[in-house]
Formats: sequence, C-alpha cells, structure tokens
Amino acid sequence: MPASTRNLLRWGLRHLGVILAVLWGAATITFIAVKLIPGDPVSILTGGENVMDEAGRSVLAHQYGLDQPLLVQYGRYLGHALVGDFGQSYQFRRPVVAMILEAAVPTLQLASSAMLLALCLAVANAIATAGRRTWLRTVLSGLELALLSTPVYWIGIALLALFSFQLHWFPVTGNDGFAALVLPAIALSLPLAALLGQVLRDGLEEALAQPFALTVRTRGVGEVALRVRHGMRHAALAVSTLTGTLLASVLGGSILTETVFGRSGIGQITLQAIRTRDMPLVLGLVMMSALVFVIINLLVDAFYLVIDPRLRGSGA
Amino acid sequence: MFRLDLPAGASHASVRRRGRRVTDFCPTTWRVIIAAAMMAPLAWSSAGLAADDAMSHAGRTLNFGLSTDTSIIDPSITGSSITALIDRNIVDSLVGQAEDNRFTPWLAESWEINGDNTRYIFHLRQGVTFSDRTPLDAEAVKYNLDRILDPKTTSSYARSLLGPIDSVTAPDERTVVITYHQPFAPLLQGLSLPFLGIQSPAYLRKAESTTNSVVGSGPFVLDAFTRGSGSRLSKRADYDWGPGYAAHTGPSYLDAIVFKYLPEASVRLGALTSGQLQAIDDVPPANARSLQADEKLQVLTRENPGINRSLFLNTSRGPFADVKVRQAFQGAVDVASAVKAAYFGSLRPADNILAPSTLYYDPKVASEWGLDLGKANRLLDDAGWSARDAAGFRTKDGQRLSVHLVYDSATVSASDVTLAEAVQFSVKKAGFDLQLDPVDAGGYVARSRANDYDLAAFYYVRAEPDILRTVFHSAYIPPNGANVARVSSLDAKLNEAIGASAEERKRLYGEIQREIITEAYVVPLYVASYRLAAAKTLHGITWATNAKPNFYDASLDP
Repeated sequence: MPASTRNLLRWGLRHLGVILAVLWGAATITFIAVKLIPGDPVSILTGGENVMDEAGRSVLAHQYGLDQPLLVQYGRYLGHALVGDFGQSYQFRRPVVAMILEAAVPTLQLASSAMLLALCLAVANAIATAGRRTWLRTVLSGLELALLSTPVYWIGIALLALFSFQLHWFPVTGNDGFAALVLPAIALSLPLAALLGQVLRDGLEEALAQPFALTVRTRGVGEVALRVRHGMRHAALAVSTLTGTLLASVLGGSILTETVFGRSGIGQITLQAIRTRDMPLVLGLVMMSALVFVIINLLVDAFYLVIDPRLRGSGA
Repeated sequence: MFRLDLPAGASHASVRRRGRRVTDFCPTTWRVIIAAAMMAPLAWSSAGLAADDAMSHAGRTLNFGLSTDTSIIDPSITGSSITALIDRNIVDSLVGQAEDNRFTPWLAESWEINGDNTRYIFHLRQGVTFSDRTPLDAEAVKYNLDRILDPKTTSSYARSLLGPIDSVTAPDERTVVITYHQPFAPLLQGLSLPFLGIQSPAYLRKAESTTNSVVGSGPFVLDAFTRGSGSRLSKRADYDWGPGYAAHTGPSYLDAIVFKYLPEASVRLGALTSGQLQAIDDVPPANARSLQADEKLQVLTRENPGINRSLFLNTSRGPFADVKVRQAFQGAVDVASAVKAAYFGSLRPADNILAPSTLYYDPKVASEWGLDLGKANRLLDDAGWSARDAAGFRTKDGQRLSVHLVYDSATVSASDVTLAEAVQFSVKKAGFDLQLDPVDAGGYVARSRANDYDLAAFYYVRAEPDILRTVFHSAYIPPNGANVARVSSLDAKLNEAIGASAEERKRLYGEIQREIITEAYVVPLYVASYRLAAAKTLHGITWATNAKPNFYDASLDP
C-alpha cells in the first residue's frame, strides 16, 4: 500500500472515530436529559384526549419498550441507532428517520437560499465598505447592529405585513413554490448577513492593512481585484471559524421562520418534539444536528487548505 | 409570482386575466428599467393591483387558516380536534347529528335499537363508494370498527366512543349489527363524529402507515397532508350521499379546501384581511370587535357543547378535601367580572358544568351557586380557617390557606391566564391565597399524576352528556384520564346513565349536574366557543355538534 493511501486511511479512520464519539456523547446526554425531565410518554402516545385505562396504557408502554429498565432502554436505543434506526415518534407514530428526511427538504431549501443570500449580501457589503466610504460604512454597520439585535420572528412579521398584506407581492403561505420561499429566506438571511458582514469587513480591513496589500497595489492591480482575489481569502478564514455560530443561528432561526410563515420543516418538528417530550424524535433530531455539525466542521477544516496555501504541507 | 387557485373549467377567466396581466406587466418593467428610483413607488402599486385582481378571482377554493396543527390525520387513532375538522370533509359517518342534536340518516338509511340499548341494527345506503372506487358495504363498516377495537391499532379516543362492545357483525351486505355486554346509549352520538368515520378497508389493509393519509367516502378527497404546513382537499364530483341534516344533496359547492397552518395570530389576521385566506379560526378576543366592524368580514361564533371551561377542585387533598372550603371558594369567585375582564364580553359566563347545547343540560342548576362573599366567609370560619395573617390571607394552625392552580403554559391562552389572575384577585377577598403554577406539558402530566395540585382547568367538547363520565368517573383519575377533581361519588349514577332510557338519563344527568355544583367539585368559568372569522363572500357554513364548521353546504361568491 502506498504511503499516501495509508495516510488517507488513517486520516479517515481518525475522523470517523471523532464523529462516532461526538454522536455517542450527544445521544447519551440527550437520553439522560429527556429521562430526567418530568413527563409521561404514554400520555403523549394516546394522542390528545388522554382517555385510556390501565390495560391500554400497558399495551402502549410495552409496544414502545417503555416498560423496560432504563439501562436496557438505553442499550437498545444505542444498538438500533448504530444501524440507523431511531425508532418511532410518539406523537406522529412514524419512523423518526423518515420524518427527519421528509422535513429536511423544505428546511434545506430555506437554509441554503438564506445562506446564499446572506453570503452575497455580506461579501458585497464588505467589499464596498471595508476601509472606505465612511458614510456608507456607518449606515451599514448601524443596520447590521439593528438586524443582529432583532428577533427573526419580528423581521418575518414585518416583511409579511409590508410585502404580503399591504403590497400583495408574495403569498403568506406554506411550502408552495418559489414565491413562498422569498420572504422566509430573506427573513432568515438578514441577521446572518449582518453577522457575516461585520466579520468579513473586519477581516478584510485587517488584510488590507498588511504589507502584501501594498505589494499588490504597487504591481498595479486594481482595488476591486485586490479585495476580491487577495483580501477576501484572509477574511474568509475569519468567517469559517464562525461556522458553529452560523449553523446554530440557521437551525434556531428556522424554528422561528417556519412558525411565522407556516412552513413545514426541521424547525417545526423540533419545536413540536420538544414541546411534547417526543423522546425518539428529540433524540433523532439531536443526533442529526450533531452529525451535521461534525461534518461541516470537517469540511471547514478541509476548506482551510483550499483558502490558505500556508497550511498545506504542514499536515500529513 | 402568485399562486393562483383556478376553478376547474374557468379557462375564459384565466385567459382574460393572463391577457391583462401581460399588458400590466410590460409598462411596469419598462418603467422600472427606465426610471428606477423615481418610479419605484408607482411600480410597486401597479404590481399590487395585479395581485389584487388575481386574488379576487380565486375561484371556489376556500383557503382556511388554522392556529393549530395536527400530528396524525387518521381519525381512528387520534383525539385531535383539527383532525376531526379536516376529516369531516373526507370520511362519512353512519349517522349524522343535526345542530339541534337529533340524529339523521347518513351512510345508514335507518337503524333499530332494542329496548335496553344493547343491540343496534344499521341498514346501509346502497351505491356508496370510497374515493378509491371500492364499495362501502357492511363488511367495510365491520372492518373499521374491528380495527379500532384491536389493541394493536392503539386507538384511544375513537375506541372510548364505542364503549363496551361485545361484537360487530355483518349478516348481509347492507346490514351491520353491534351488540353490547351492558346497555350503552351514547353509541349514535359517537358514531356521528369523524373519529368513527368509515375509511376504505382496501386502503387500510395495504397502507404501511395511516398517519398521513386517509381515504373515505366523503365529499372531498385528501390530496396532500403536510405536517407543519397544512392539507389540501379537492371535491369529489360523484358524491351523492350527504348527511340528512345538510341543506343540499349531490357534490359540494366548493371545488377545493386548503387548510393552512399559521400559528401566529397576527399572520392569520393579516392573511385574512388581505384576502389571501377566506376564513381563519381562533380569532383573538381582542381582535374580534375590529374584525366585526370590517364591512368585508364576518365573525361567526359557536358555543361548544360538553364540559364548560371550569376550575376543577382536587377533593382528595389539602384544604379542598373539606367541602365547606370548596363551597367557600366557589362562592368567592366573581365569575361574571373575571370572564368579562379576560374576554371583553365576547364569551358567556358558565352557569353549570355542562354547556347549554349539551343534551340533558339542566338550566335549573344555575340557581344553586353564585358569587356570595358573605357565605364564603361564613363557611371558612366554620371550617376553622378563621384567623388571618398580615397579608390578609386566612390561616389555620399557622398554615396559610394557599391553593395551587397548575397549568401547562404552552396550551393555555393569554386570555385564560388573565382570567386566572382575575379569579386570584377575586378569591383574595375571602382570604384565599390562589397561586398560579405555570409548568410545561411534561410538568403538568407529572404533577397531575403525583396528585400535586389543588386546581386544574380545562374544557371538553362533546354533545353527549356521557362526557361527564370521562371527567368524573373514578376510573379516569389521573394518569388514566381527566378526573382531576378525583371524585368517586358519582360512579354509580354515571354507570347507570350510560345505558338507561331517555327519561332515566335525563333525570340521572340532572342529579349528577346538581351534585357536581353543590358539592363544589368545580367552579364553572365560561362556555368555550369556536370563533371563526371569514370573508363575507363565504356562505352556508353549518356547525357540527362538536362546534366545528362544516363545509359541505358552504359556498364562495366569485
């Protein structure tokens, strides 16, 4: 086996180990938390109007393995989770994996369009205002601060009131088509754009103050090319450290956005699962978030190498 | 850009509209390109006009905004009232119940009940088919009921409606016989609800999971159900077996119904006033008046039958174990003022445990109780709570007269919290220290299970007085059900009333209502109501006996 393949294999195994460890930790902590907080899973299972005699209750408890000792439940849960089976949601009575996959589609649409929009806004903002145009910079940073401090919820209602109720440009409703995606995506993207914009501008200003900027300028390269081709690389490094925060705000924001706009998705089922103590669903969602988090962080690590040639060659 | 719901066969209108939109759109684009900044407001307003035009032609699709979502659409395995509301259009029932509580034919043309309510024979209508084209016959009815009774189905509410069934048989294609171990009178009312609506056995047999689809014989077909978003129903053109209480026969007038889940009240209201929805539920009490004043809108209110929203006093522990203390509390609550403060006069204060539209509601019980601070003070003195502490609360053996109202803060509306605060203020005059304990759903279940509360509050919707059994029979003391007052003195009468003759039932339920009030198991608060706001173009809404709107007779002006 050539050395490079062996190295790659070792790298892969190490990271797989990290992923599994994170997932196990997340599963265990959530399991303990869900079992510690008060509540009665059988009453969730009976569906709304809780009318059920002792016999019926024990049938349900048995069917969902709730009559087993906690350790057995835990072991069984981990065993099934290893093969990708997270059981059935208590209130929806459907396999957790199917529910999450189903809900992931509209949420991915929303999250990816919001991220893309946020990135475009932030990059344009940073390039236009870093270290110049003082008046525009002041106005935009003020706006960023305002957007960062405003709940997504409120932004969503304000957008709806203006563009849907008054101007009738976009429909309020649900998951139908592109028109219904515009307002939720804008609502979710604005705070993200504000955060990204601030960090990018700082990063860019820092990069432009470095000696290499002067070198590039003396070569006769234009200001825009300098900013886009050289400065942004440095600024991008600063942004990638924010990935965790961004991911969290996208997930958290999607709960609020989906509620205001009546969209189905991960946010809605997360809210519902936590509200009703739907343990299998809560566990499944936590595992999913942990998995997404780990994968994105790995991607970012790999992305560093692309952005910054100085980091290449130092590792394996 | 806008979703248009075109009526089927409205091609003329849509062609004309498309033509107009094109001519509108060209100058708009042109203006925007030529004179961006100056003309922007003009461009906005013309785009707005185009949208108005599109929306007024929305055709015969009713867009309905719901404040609550449902997790399961199969009516047999959930007690969700939203599932009932949606499924009423998709599944038919054996019998119908009119607004005046009388039973009418539906899937069953006629029926016979024996003298002691132990044997029901239903004669089915001929020619009824499910939307998957399979016939609705006696076997199909039997399959549905057997499925609900099967513990593996884990049906809870639907199963409780069927009572102690002995057997369901189908002697021939058009006859269904249901027999009971012991007399059971509430069957017809249960059968009239969507929870016992008949679904296609062909569909049920092959469905892997029934949680997000339903196939029935109703006037509408479920095209899509998306959790967290809503449902889309379209009309069945060959429907010709509506309930006996309906105003018309044949297919429904509406072409489609779209239920949209919009949990935010302000969003629902905005969507209604801007014409994107034609009706919404759960109108906030504070907005009801302004909607009523809007000349394009109407507010329709329907009082729920069943158990009024009431405070249930835990008779098994603490100060409320003493009947005198309970009666004192009942007499100390100024129900009328509290309800007025919380609901701006839009709801009626309750005078009994049962709502007036419930079968066998006894109006005479109202005179048995009411605000009487003098009596409350006397009773508390008698019960030994005669001392008062520095804060003005009564004490006994150094203990303050504190009682805890435990509620799930996620499901209790802001108005109900205001109401609880008004009650708190009102009973303080008699020396009660009423504590409000907001908890989450899990906390509520845990505390009611552990008997760690003095008061709880809720209401139940059902036109059949047997609902009293769910709330006051000792078999349903938590965690098995909703007997949060933890009463067992009514078991015998509740059991007897299940199967008795109509006259006997009236007498028994009268006595039960009286005892619930005079023993002060409860303080009735208000008659819960379903409040619908709709465009004035919506006509013909009728009401199911669970106070939910029926859409079969409904129509929309163009």
